[in-house]
Amino acid sequence: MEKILRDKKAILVFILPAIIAYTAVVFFPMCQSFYFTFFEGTPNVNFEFVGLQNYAKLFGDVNFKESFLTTMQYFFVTGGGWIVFGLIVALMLQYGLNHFSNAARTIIYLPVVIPGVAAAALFSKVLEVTPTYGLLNSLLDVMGLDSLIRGWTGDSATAMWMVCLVDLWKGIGYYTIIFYAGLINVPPEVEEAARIDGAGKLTTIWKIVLPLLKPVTIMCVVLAIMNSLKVYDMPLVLTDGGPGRVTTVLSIYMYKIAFTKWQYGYGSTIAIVMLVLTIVLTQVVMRLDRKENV
Amino acid sequence: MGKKRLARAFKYLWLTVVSFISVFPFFWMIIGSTNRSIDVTRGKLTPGNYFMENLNTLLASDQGFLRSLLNSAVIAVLTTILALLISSLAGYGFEIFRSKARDRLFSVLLLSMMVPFSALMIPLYRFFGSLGKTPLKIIGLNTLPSVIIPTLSTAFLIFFFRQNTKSFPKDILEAARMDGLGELAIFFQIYFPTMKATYAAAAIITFMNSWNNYLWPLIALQTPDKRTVPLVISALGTSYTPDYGLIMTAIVIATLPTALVFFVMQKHFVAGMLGSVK
Amino acid sequence: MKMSKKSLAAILAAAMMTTAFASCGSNESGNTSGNASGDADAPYTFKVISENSADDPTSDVHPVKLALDDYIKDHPNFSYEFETVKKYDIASKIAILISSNDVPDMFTYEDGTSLDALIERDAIVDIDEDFSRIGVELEDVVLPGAINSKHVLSNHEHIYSLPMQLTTNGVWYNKQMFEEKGWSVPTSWQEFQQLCADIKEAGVQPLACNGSDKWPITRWIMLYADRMEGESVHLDASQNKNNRSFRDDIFVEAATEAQKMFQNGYFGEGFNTVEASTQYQMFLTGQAAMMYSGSWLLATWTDPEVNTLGEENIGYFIPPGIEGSSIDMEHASQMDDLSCATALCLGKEKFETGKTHDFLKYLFTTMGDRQSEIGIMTPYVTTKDLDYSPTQQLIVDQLQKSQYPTLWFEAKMDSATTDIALENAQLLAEGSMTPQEYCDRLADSVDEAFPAE
Repeated sequence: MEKILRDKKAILVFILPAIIAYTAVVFFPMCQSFYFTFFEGTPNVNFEFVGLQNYAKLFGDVNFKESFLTTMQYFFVTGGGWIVFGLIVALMLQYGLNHFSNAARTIIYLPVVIPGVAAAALFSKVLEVTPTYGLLNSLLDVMGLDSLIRGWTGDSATAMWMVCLVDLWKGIGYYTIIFYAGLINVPPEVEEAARIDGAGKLTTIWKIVLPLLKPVTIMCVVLAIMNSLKVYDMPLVLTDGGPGRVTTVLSIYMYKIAFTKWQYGYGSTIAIVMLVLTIVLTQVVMRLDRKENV
Repeated sequence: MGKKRLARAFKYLWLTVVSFISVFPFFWMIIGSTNRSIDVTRGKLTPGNYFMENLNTLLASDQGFLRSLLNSAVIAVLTTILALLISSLAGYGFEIFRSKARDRLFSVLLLSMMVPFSALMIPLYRFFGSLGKTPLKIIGLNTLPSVIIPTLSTAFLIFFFRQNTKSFPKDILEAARMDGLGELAIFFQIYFPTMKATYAAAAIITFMNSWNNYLWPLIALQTPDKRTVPLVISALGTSYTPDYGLIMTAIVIATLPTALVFFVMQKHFVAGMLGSVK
Repeated sequence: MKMSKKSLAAILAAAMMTTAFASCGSNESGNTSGNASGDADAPYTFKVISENSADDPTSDVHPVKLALDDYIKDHPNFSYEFETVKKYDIASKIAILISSNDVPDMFTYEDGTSLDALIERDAIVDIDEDFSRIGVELEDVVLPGAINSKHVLSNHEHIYSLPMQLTTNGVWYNKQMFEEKGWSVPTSWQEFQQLCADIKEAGVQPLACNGSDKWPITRWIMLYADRMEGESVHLDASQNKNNRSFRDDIFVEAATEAQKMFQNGYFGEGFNTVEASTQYQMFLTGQAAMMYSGSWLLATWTDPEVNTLGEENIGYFIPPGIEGSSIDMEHASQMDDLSCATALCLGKEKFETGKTHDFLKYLFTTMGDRQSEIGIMTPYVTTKDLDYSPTQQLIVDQLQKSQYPTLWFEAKMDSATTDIALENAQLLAEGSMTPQEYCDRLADSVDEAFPAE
């Protein structure tokens, strides 16, 4: 009896602060947002109950569909890139480097450390074309590839790719470190055994190490899903959602709807859609994982 | 034999390219901070000797850069300490005092990781705004606590601590309990010292996220004297004739703390990450 | 165990409820201040939000800051707080402040249709109605032309904002370069196009354009359309008035002409990424021979450190009329777009307390003089004699002739149409959207907001 009672007090003390913080700062506002989706207008001024109208509006909204597709592009290119390149660089760090690994790790992680605003400011200068060629255009000029020179962030064909690439640059280090930690964990005996069996390095990596890395990979994929769907800083500061709407991802669309158009209800609806999307994608990944284990 | 050398050359080439790509913007940033604005816009790649001048102008400017450094520091440090405390307590609690109900609660908590901040923005702003007319004003809008509080409950950190706790030897707990130590005492006297690496890793992440946070401080902080560093950098860029030497200098200084912390702590960082992927 | 869980839930539920009531309660109660109202000596903090820092001499609120500094000398209990919010954030910032009943004493905003949302939410002072409460009549401090301009802009009977500057837009050109290369100010649109071609041929960028701000692009559509069919044609089409619509051929033609200018390279490369500060720099350093921009620059061009070209070397003209159009050259040369587009709004709640009326009276009665001293084209009444700088004189001369003023392209559009006009402008200019599609999208949106009767 005493043990159980003591347990209870302990549980409260340990878990309660986090629960209170979570409720106040996440759960409650989230419920409020969800509540807003059934209304239109601004709270306290002209809030009208409109039932499911906001959700119906989504289906007919061309801009929403465009933003959705843009976000998906971002998800596959940047999110996917984070995982793929993060893994490749981690593999190189582990298996390719015998010295300098400390320095290499720091260098690779550095971009993660820089504030998003700062990265955007830096790269808008790198990608510049007027009044002078920024770094990229200068390089192209030097290499004689004049025809490729353009205003990278102002051209609707390339703007989104630039945003994706810059964010890719910024995030790879984060995933590399996680994968790297997972790689270090691989017991050397397993690798020994594989070598004794005559497997080459690449085969070892492909057939033995990667499967062992599965839980880490899943965690990274989930993180990448969340981070890529939430993106906001980079497309806004680098291109302000433009030109046209080509870099208007869902979160920017939602922000503009809620704050420059004052449609808090519809804005909240988009936010809820983002939440559902994240959950669905994460669940898909988790299911795939579980299926394979069975 | 030739193949091996080729492979090695290729490997070093690849790593050089990767390092170059990672580092070049920083290099350019540092060079930029030593030049005048007009040189930066012209694309000068060599260092100049305007760094001190830029620094002085920056500190003297009406943007309150020094003040923002202080604000950012206070916010980041407090956030890190509090968030770490709350999350590690919870992570430990969820792992050591397992129960089915608590596991379910944990999954619900995890879901909150997926909520985009934009969904919480409006209700949070209204909540903190409403505090302004009550005695709770000191944590209302435009105060440092209003920036700290929404970032305290990170499901990711709780998850992180819980994962790392899985490798914590439970027999030590039993022994301590038999010695008559209370649960909290066990936590602080035994768990905390043992899990230093985990705390280090979590501290780095939390500090960095707090320091670089842009969106929420933009909304919650309203007077220039309360601004954080990213906000000041942003403001520098929107002036009538932005001084790029100044902006680069500001960015260099803004990135320094997190870069330093990471460099110094990175062994712990990796070890801490290690613990969570087991 | 079950007990503790339930009580835990109860505590949480109670916590949630109280926070809910707290936010409801305080929003309804409104401003309850502890000081006696009307007491000019009670401490008061005058809050201003603007797009540019108040210390920046080109900022709209710089004169306000100067006035505050002066006022405070005699009223030590009065203090102020300025906040700079970026353009794309101002609308959202004000929206949030309205939601939490915390609208500042004064803030800058874009005038016209954008203001409607604020008016609907009863957030700003009705100037026609309530301005005189500060102790002076509107007509006594603001020039009639400016008041008129505000009325044209407003979609309501009354106006809800005060003017900041009289702005007009035109083409600034590098006199020195023109002389050296033998170029002359064009007397017709066709000549203007030829001039651009000649300048480009000579290896100089004809016009610097801040395409990243989007609005400079749509001006060219307006300039062409107006010079073909009159200064109100784009304003009418924005509201389906007088049988005009963006589906009319003239707009497709205008959009095509504008697109051609961009595609011909008259605005250089990468115009979509150029910001205003870069544009000015390109012009001032001679990289571009001309630029289309506004009179707000006058205030900075008296400063030789900023104006490296020198005031005597800067010329000004507005794009001339089109040969063969129904609008003659004379008429076209007087079609300046003249506006007081930035709105200076007064937060209603704080205004009603009466504590700022004394300061506001001081501010507005001295505004005209203050602005002139800084070099801003002022819409306020001035009491002193004015001594114009060379560049100011250019604008003043042009405006003296202005018989047929008009407003900017999006002036009478509703917010959805404005978005479409601006967002797609960059696509039109870079050639990825056809003029036909651009106009169709505009027309569709106008039809939605102003259905044909």
